[in-house]
Amino acid sequence: MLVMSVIAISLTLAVLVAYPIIRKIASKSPFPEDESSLRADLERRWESALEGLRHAELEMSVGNVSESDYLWLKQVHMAEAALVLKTLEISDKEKGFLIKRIPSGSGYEEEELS
Amino acid sequence: MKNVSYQNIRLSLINSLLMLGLFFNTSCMAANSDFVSQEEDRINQINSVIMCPVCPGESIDQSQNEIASNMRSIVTDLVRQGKTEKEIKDYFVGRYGPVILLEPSTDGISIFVWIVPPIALSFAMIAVALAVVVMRKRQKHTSLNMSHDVAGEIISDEEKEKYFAVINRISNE
Amino acid sequence: MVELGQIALILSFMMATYSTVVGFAGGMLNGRDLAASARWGFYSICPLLILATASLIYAFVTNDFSVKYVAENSNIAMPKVYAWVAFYSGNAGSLLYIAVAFSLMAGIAIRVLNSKLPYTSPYALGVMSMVLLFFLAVILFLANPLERHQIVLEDGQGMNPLLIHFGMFIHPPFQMLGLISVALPFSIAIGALLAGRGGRDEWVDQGRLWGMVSWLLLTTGLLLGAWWAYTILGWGGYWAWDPVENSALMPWLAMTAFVHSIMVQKRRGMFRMWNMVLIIVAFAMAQMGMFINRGGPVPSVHSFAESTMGWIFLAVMAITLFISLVIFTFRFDTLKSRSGLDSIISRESAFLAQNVLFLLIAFITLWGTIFPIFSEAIDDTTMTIGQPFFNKVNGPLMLLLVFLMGIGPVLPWRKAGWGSINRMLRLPLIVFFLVLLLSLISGIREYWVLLAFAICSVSLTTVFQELIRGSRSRHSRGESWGIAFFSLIGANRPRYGGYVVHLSIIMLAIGITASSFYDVQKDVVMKPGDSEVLGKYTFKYLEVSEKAYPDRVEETAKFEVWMGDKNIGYMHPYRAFYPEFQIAATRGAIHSTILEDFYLVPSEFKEDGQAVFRVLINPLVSWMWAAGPVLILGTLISLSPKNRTQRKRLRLPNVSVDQNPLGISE
Repeated sequence: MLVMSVIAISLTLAVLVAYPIIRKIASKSPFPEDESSLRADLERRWESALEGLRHAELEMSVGNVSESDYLWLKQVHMAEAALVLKTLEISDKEKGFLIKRIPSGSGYEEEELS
Repeated sequence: MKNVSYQNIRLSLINSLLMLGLFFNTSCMAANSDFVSQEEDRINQINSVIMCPVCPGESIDQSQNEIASNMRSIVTDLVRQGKTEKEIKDYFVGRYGPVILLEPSTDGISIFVWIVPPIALSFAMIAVALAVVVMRKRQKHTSLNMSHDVAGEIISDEEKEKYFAVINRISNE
Repeated sequence: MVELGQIALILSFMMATYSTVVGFAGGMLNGRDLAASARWGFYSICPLLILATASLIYAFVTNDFSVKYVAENSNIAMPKVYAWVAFYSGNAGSLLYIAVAFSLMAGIAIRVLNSKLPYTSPYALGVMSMVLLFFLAVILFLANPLERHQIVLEDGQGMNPLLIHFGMFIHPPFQMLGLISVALPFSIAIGALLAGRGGRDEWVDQGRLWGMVSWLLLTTGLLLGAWWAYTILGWGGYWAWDPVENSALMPWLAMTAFVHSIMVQKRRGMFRMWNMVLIIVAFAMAQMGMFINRGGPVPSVHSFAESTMGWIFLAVMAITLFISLVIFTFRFDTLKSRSGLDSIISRESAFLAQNVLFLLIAFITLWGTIFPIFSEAIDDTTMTIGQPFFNKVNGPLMLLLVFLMGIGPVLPWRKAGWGSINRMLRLPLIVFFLVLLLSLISGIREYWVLLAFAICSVSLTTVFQELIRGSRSRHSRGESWGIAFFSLIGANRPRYGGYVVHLSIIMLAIGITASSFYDVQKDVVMKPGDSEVLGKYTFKYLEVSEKAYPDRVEETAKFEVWMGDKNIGYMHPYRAFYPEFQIAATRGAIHSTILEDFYLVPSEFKEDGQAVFRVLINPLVSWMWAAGPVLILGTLISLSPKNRTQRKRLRLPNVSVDQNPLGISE
C-alpha cells in the first residue's frame, strides 16, 4: 500500500516536471514583454510622471503645497511625460542619440547603440 | 482669503477638541500616582531591575517563581530599613554578581554599552547629512538631470504644445 | 501514515533541489521551458509538505508516541485540538511549519512574478527554492519531526503548560510566517540582481507588494505576541526586550524602513543601491531571529531547547549575507540613481532620515542583545541588558520616529518651499502647543509623556487635516461629504492606506506611553471576605475553589468588583500548578475599558487561607490592541490594486514611428 502510493506520487512528480520540457509549451506561447525593455521602462516613467501630476493636484487641493511649488511640480512632470512621448515617436537612429542624453542611471547606452 | 482662514480656525478648534477628548482622562492618570504609596512604588521599581537568578530573562517583579518572591520580600525589608536603591542593588550584586542587575552598570567594560548608542546616533546624523549633501550636489551640477531642461533642448515648442495637450487630456479623464 | 510523511519530505527535498538547479539554469540559458519545468516542480512541493504535516498531526491525534517528536511535545491528557499547537511548539515541528508555509507563499509569489517579471522570475525562483532547500535539509538530516525511535513510551511528556492558551494558536504561526516571508522580497531583489535586471526598477512593484505582505505578517506576529504576553503571563506587561522579542523586532524595523524607501525608488528612481542593501540586511536579521530562537547563546523564555542547530542557522546567515553582498558588489554599477535631491526639505530626505533612524534603532537593539556575549568573552563579566537600557535609549528614538511620521507624509515630493511648509505645518504646530498646555493643566508632569502626547497630536493633526481638506475640496466640486471622503481614499489608496496605518501606530504610541508611565501596581494579602481599594476600584475577595485535572491543579479566586459605585461583576483570576513540569501558570482576570485595564493576578495561595494578589491599573492598554485591526485595514487598503479605470488612465498610448499616434489634428 505504502509502496504503491509512493510510486504513484513519484511518477506524478516526474511527469509534472518533464511535461513542460517535452511539450515545450512555454517556448510555443507568445513572447512575454521583457521587463527591462525600453518600452517597459518608458511605461514605468510615464506612469510615474502621470502619478506625479495627479499627486501634485491632490497636494494642491489638500493644501500641502504653495501655488509656486505646485506649478513647478506640474512643469517637471509634464516635461517627463512629454519626453516619454517624444522618445516613442522618433526613429531608431535618433533614439540612440537621445538615449545618451536622457538621465537613466543605468546602461542603456551599451544596449541600445550596439 | 478670509474664508480660508476662518475655515482653518474651525479646523484647529475641531482638532483641539479631539485632542482634549483624547486626553480627558489625563487628570485621572496623573492622579494615579497617588493610589499606591510611595514606598510601594519604590519597591516595585527596584524589583523590576533585579533579575531572577533561575528564570531565563525575567525580573523578580515579573517572575512567578518562589525564589523571586523570596527576593521580593528581601527588597521590601531593605526598603523599610531605609536603604537607598544603590545599597540594595549592591547587596544583591554582592551575593549574585553583576549579572543580577537588569541594567548594566557604568564601570569596567559595561561602559561600552552606554557609550556606543550616542556614538552610533552621531554617525547616523553625519551619514544623513552627507547623503543629503551628495544627492543635492548631484542634482544641482548635472543640468541634464532636470528633465525640463532636456525637454527644452530636444522638444520644440510646438511639439511641446501638442504633447501637453495630450497629457492634460489623459490626466484629466 | 508517518512513513508516507517521511517519503513526502524526501520527495520535497528532491523537488527543491531540482527547481533550484533548473530554475537557475533556465534563467542563465534563457530557456523558458526549463524555467516552466522548475516552476511546476516548485509548485508540487507545497502539497507534498502538506502531506507530511498531515501525517505529523495524525500522529499527534492518534497518540503515536513511537514518533519521538510526538512523545516530547504531547501526552494522552492533552486535548487533541492542541495538536495544531504541538505541531510547531518544538524545534523540529516548527521547521516543518516554516517549510510548508513558505512553500505556499512562495508558490503564490512565483505565480505572480512569472506574469509580471518573466525574465527575473527564474532567478527569483532559484533563490526561493534554495531557502526552502535549506530548511528541508535541516529537517531531513538534523531535526526530523517524523523520526521514530526504538523505545515506545506509554505516554508522552506533554507540552509546556504556558503554551496551552488560545494565543498559542495564532502568535507563533504568524511570527514564524513573518520571519520567513522576508525571504520573498529578498529573493525578488537578488533575483533581479542576478538576472542583471535591477537597474531600471523593474522589480520595485513586486518588491513593494511582497515587502508589505511580509511587513504585515511581521507586525501581526509582534502585536499578537505582546497581547499574549499581557493576557497570559500575568505580570501586566507586554514587552520585555527579551532577546527573542528583539530578534523579531529587528527585521520588522528593517522592513518598515524598506516599505518606505521602496516608494522613493518607485517615484524617483533613487535609493537603488540602498534598497538592495537594506533588503539583504533585513533578511540577515530575519535569519538571525531564527538563530537566536533555536538555542542561541542568549537565554530567553522563548528559546526552544538548547541545541547545536542555532549555530547552523548562524553559519547560513553569514554565508547568505556574504554571497548577497558579493553579488551586489558585482552589479552595483547598474544601480546608480536616476535622480538626485531637488531640495533638502522634501519627502525624499524625510524618508532618508527615517530609514537611517530605523536602522539605528535596530542596531542599538542588536547591540544590547549581543553585548552580554562579548563582555563574557572578553572580560569574563556577565551581565544582563534588559528593559532599563532599551527603554532609555530606544524610547526617545522611537518618539523621534513618530514625529517624523507626523510630518513626513505632508512634505511634498521633490521640493517644499517655505510657503508649502507654512501651509502644511501651521495647524499642527498650534495643536502641538495646545496639547502641551492642556496636558500640563490636567496634571501631567512627566516630560516624556508631555512630549509623546504632543508629538502624537501633531501626527494626528496632519492626518485629519489632510483628510478633511481633501474631502472638502471634492465636496466643493459637487460630491456629498460621505462620497467625497470615500472616493478620496479610493482614488489614492496607497497614500491613505498608509495614513490609516500611521493612525494605528499613533494609537500604539499613546497606549504604550500611558501604560508605561502611569501604570499602578500593588501587592495585597487578602483572605476570603476581605475588601480592598485601588483607585476607584473596590474589589472583594469572595472565595477560592480548587479543581484537580490530570496534569494540573487549578486554584481559582472569585472576586466581586466595583468601579466607583457601580458593580461591574465578578472576576476569576486563577493559578495552575503543573507538578510534572514544576511550573506555575497564572492567568490574570482583566476588566478592560477604553480608558484603562483593571488587572488581578494571584501570586500565591497560602495554607492559612490567605492569598497574595497583584493588582494593576494599566491606562489606555486597549488602544494598543485596537490598533491591530486598524493597522491591518490600512495595509489592505494600501495594497489593494488599482481598478480598471485607474489603470487605463495610466497606460501609455500605443504609438509607433511615422504615424500620427496621438490622433492630433493639425
